[in-house]
Amino acid sequence: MCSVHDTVAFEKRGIPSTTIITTAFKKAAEFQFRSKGMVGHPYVQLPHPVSNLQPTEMRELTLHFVDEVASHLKD
Amino acid sequence: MNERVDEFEFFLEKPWSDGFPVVTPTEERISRILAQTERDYEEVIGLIPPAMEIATVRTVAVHALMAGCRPEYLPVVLGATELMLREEFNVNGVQGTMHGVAPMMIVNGPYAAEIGVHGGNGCLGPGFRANATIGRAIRLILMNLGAGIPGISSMTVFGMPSRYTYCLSENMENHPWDSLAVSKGYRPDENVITMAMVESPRFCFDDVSDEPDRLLLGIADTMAAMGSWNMHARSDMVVAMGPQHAGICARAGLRHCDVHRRLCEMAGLRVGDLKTGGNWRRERALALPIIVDPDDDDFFVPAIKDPEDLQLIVAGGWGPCTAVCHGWSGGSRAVHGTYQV
Repeated sequence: MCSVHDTVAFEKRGIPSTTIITTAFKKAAEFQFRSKGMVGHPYVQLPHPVSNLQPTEMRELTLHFVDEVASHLKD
Repeated sequence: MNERVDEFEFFLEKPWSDGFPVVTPTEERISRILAQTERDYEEVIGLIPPAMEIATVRTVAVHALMAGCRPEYLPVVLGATELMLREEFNVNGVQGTMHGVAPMMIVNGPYAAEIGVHGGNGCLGPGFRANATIGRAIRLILMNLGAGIPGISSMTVFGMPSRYTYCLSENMENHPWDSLAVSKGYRPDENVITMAMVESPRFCFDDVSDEPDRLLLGIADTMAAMGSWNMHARSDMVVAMGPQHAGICARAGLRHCDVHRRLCEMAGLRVGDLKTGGNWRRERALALPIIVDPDDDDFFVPAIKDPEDLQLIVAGGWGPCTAVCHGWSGGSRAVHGTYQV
């Protein structure tokens, strides 16, 4: 869950950041945000798994989440 | 404790345990174990991810006590706790990962011998208090201070028996070379811990080979597999040669560094074989920190991407066996350092 760690580090420096996980990591992500003092920080969940997708499939999937990611990066 | 509270059940129900009963950390016992160190009891060792609870000399001592450590084991537990919090070891990542690796502790130097950290017959199994409880203390710290608990913050698919404890020394009585620590440049009289995030061992049992070429080919084969992260990412690995296997190499004139180099060169798979199963992905191959041609089926992909990633030790009892522990995918580099006795 290094991505949560990075998001927290960015946010603490005033840089808007979000975390992208797959649904399998929901509990771990929420625990990490809570324990690092950012309970309720928004994150983006992709369906699990993604590691078996081809690059074109991955690109197609992520296009559905662009707006959500962008909304998390607004000040 | 009083009649209404069973102290063993209390810690299990909290839960402040790995599933086994713990030693009740009474103030008297805590005072006894803390007397082992001259350090300030409130000195902060670090924050244990992902919960980021504070590990102090005192809280580390409490967990060592709960794990069953003798007071004289405390310096090793303190040293290992400090060491595993180095950024490059990436405990935070391992606490949450789906994989099931654990921090293996290889304890070298005179203090390990003095307190009985075992490196001989059966050293990775039950029966040796220092091995059993020092490694267990680290696990309890990861669970109680770090909350690395399946269902809470750990997504590990299986866990692993080595997550109960993973601590050993080398078999210096039957060691044909210098210890791992000395091979890294430490003096033999220094007390050193090396930690690597690895899986439980798989064994290369070879009672046929009587010369290094054939022997190392079998060990190298055990170091490579389609489903091993060592083939698809830069990962650490521990190879613990039994003294019998190490002796075959030494008698043929091979030094520790020679065997290390040859295993790095020999362990791996062809691209054409890797493509047929396991974790092969073209993108992963291209992302490796070494050059791989994913279009050349005869291209040899080594299991060890950087020689620093292979920890070669001599441990275990007499017999034709070598233990091979594969690594993790998520970017953890083995760490080593001295500790204060």
